[in-house]
Amino acid sequence: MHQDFRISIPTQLRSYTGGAAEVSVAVPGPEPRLADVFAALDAAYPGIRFRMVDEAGRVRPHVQVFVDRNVERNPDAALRRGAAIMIVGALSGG
Amino acid sequence: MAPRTAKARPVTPRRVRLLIATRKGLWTMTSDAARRAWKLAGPQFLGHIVHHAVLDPRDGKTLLAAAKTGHLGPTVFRSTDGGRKWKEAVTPPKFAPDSGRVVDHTFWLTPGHASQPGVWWAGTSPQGLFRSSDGGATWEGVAGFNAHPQRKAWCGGDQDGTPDGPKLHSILIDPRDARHMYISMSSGGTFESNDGGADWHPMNQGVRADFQPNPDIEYGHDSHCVRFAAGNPDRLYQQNHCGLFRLDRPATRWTDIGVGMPKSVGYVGFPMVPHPHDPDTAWIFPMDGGTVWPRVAPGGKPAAYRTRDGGKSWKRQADGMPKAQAWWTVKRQAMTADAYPTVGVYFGTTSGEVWGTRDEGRTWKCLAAHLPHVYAIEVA
Repeated sequence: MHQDFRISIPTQLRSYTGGAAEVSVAVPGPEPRLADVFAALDAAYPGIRFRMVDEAGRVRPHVQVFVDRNVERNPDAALRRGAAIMIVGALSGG
Repeated sequence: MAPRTAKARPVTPRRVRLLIATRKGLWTMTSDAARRAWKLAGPQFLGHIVHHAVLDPRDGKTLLAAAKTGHLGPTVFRSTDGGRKWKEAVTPPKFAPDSGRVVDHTFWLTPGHASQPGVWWAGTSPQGLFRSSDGGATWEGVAGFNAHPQRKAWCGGDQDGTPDGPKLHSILIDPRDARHMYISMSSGGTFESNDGGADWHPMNQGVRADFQPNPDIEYGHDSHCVRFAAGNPDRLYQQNHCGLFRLDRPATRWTDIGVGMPKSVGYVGFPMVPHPHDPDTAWIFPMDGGTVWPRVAPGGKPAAYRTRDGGKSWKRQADGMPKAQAWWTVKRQAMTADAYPTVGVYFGTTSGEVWGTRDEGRTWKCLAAHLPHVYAIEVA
């Protein structure tokens, strides 16, 4: 059993997705969490996760994640089926 | 005078290639045989903060570059063809997930001992020591340091230290013994291992720590850069936050070699560049460490200083550099020397210039300008 999620990729991370601005990943399990999406993304595009999520599992300070247009930084957040995920290089300066 | 163990007559290289790591990417500069004409190439990794890029002298073609961006986490890129093509490390340096620590950036890269091809060492900010045994593809934390029960006492907290984050740097491998190593930290000081990194002990006697309530402490110093003297790994030169020091093993007490510096210039700086053929000769590049630590050339008059007597005396070398109103300085990895019989010395500035001398500092010339803030220069 798995669920598919569409993920919007920022320019900063498109070197990992072959330039793709949006990718789709299949996440196993009945109750996927945001961390599971990150893991599936990394399985498909090796190395991408560590650039946006640190070794303690936290989304990096200058990366922002939106789930269905709401900010979501909690890796344990449960995702609804078909949720739209958007990763953004955060505005953090002038 | 230090014992000279390197007697071989230096061979003139065919050219000099510099790896110029900057706040916005990696450039290279290559000279002709006479080191008069230089060609600038790049950038690679445009937009990446490249803290260090280093050639593996064991094969002459593997390069590693430590990089991150403003948004993205730290990684290491590897090239096995001299820098034409690069691949990212599969597992970059990162702390154990249960440690609660997070690598902000990989700061320092050191190729391993000649007897251990493929081994590399990395120092991070905050202070962490990492080892790769496959040419930089995968990295593991060195538990002997990262999980040492005294590590936090030695280093302080991960948020303590210098404005750009506390760092582990100056990873030195004794060319006679792969198990004998030194590391240094800002902050933490200098430490020695006799067992390949399984255990460490402080090596800071005689080094000042004026910023501590007890300046004669065992650790917690602010080493800026520590290097082996040429051909003599029993001699170490140190540029420290609180002065210049030299250690001649087996002694464990550093000698203050900053007393010969003019008071108007002081003894604060970041780089320490030993002469590649003469263990009594080294260069430094002083900066203003007074008042609020402006971190600029003292008085706006940049200059290198050279010792030829192991630090007893220092000579100002600024011929060709701006005489006034030049407010740049040089970071700790941003000064290096080539291996020509008459040594060339090179430095990159916080204002994006690359300067060089082909006559051991008598005259200097600006070799490149308008680059980003230079973080590191290494001969490749």
